[in-house]
Amino acid sequence: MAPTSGTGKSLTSILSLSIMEWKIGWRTLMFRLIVSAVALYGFSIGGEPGRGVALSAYSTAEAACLYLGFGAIVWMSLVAVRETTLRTDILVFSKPQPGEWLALSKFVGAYLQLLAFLLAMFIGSMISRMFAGGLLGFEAYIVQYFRAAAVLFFASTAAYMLALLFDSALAGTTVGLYWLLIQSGKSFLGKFYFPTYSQNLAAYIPLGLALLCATLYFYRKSRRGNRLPAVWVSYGVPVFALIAAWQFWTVIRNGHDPEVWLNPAMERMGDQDAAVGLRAAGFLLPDQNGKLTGLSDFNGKILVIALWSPRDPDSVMLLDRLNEIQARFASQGVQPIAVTICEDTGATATFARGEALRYPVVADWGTYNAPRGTDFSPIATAYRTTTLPTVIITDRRRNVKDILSGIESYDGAGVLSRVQDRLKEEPK
Amino acid sequence: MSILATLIDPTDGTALIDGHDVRREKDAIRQLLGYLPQDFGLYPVLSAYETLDYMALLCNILDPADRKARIDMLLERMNLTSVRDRAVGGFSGGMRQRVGLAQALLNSPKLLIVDEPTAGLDPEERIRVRSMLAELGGERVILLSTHLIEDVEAVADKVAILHKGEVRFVGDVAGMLAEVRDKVWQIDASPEELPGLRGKYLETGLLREGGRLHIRVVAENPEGPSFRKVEPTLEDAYIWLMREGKNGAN
Repeated sequence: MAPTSGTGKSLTSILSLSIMEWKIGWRTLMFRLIVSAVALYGFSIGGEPGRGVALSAYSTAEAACLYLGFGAIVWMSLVAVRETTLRTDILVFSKPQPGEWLALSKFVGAYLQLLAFLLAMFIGSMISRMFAGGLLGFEAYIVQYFRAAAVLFFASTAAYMLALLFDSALAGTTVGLYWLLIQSGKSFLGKFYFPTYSQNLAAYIPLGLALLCATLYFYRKSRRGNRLPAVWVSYGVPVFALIAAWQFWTVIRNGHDPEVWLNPAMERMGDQDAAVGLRAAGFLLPDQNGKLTGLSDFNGKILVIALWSPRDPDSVMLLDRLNEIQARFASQGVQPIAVTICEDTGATATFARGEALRYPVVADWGTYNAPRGTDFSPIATAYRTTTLPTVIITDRRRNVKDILSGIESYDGAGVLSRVQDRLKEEPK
Repeated sequence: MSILATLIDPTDGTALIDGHDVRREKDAIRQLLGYLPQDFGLYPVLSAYETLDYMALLCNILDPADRKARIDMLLERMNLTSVRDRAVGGFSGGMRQRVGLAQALLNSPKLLIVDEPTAGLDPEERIRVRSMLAELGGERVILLSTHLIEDVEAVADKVAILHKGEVRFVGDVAGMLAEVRDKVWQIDASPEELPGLRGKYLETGLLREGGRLHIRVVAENPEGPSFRKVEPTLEDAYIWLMREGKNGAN
């Protein structure tokens, strides 16, 4: 039976039309070629090293945000002008279906196709990872899939809006220029302009929804005659725009570092100086579960502090080494702590779960986007770090005893033997 | 046609369909309208059935069983059942036109607007489409726009002739023929006389027989003995009504 209520009818109509939209795209040769190409690409980058899947998942999502981001912009632009190109617009627009539902279902169908491209990329990556060492920490793929999906959503809404409202694929692809700009890695762009950072998605998802509502509101407005646009479309524009504006303002106000905004004294983190013989520089940063963690939480312990970057495969080997230290020496009062030097604060949780890490991994909110993460991280500055990964080993009174950088921090028995030396000097 | 189909707004004036204003009450008009444009595209990857299924959804026919029943009936009626699962991208012009006609009928429209439905079709398909229109005419109002007189003869109860936005004639087929009654002539002439006659009279046909020409003209006051009165056709009437000069010469 057909639904009788207005909302039920609209939902059924949007759902049925979206499925049809999906079919129109899915049947094309282009769709199948893209699915095959991205699956192969995913396979080529998915076998990243590590005990678990974290680096594989994270690298796949980063590549998806960049390449599929461009792909989404072009795909959505082409979908938006499809009716005009195929000359089906005359048939479609003489039918009673409201323009809002037409444009929305077309978007939903095309976005589902993008999600299929993304899935193909992740599946390719997972297969590759399976051959390289198994799928331990599989949930990292799920987290990163949703992150990339959200980024593609924003790229899609912007391109779809321009292409649809100007009835020109070229207009939609201008969003590609913005995408190019954010990839240039300038530090001033690193704060809120970058939709691929997990912490910025709280602003970019409502912004995407606002753009989508604006598209539906303005699309072929005269086609409605004296009918008013759907209520949620009319209210969606200001409501989602306000939420997005508030989120952007929060990021700007916090200077990309909410902890410092909440507690200005924390700005002093970067003013510390830690070298062998000096006291370890302290910090208070959220761990993988969001709990604020500082060195004072581990009084009387030998600390193994690792500064690492998720973009660096060597760092992942260091995380493994820390897991080993945790397993072997935790009972003797040794505490590993990893500090993630990365602009994307979502990376911490992905790696902690993906690599099944049992020690605290804290996100350094102060890291701004820069050619080298160490340039702008207050913690990296405090520890005089210029190379990642770096390991700092302290005694039980938090005095720095050893600093190891680069290959010696994770390869061979370097860290393990230093920890054992510390334990000999200061047994529990 | 586009204005009546609510695709563009009139720059001036107004039009009402079943009491609904084309400028303001577009949704109401679309509910009772079926439109087959002259030049339209289809989604090449969809089959005939899927195309109609999509169009039915656009017509707000949401009950799947209802949609299927309507589509099956129309595919049968348009003689497309055997190709229902074939992608429309590979269809001939006539088959595409029949899909176009089927999609215009999905919502059982009270008014069916068809714009040049037989243009560009081969004779066989033209006859087929024309017959379908003639058959449909008994059930609803069909507004047919055409340059082909055979279409009018086959299906029209009422004819209006528009020329550059001006209504030249409104009436039935018999009334249209009456416009040129006793005005259609055949002249036997030599090829040398042709340019002179063409400048003087409105020509509606030419037939060559041996070295002589039989010229068909429409004229109110013919001069000369070689004029032979003949039975008027709709084509004569159409050309006469569309004439630019008052005396009939273009």
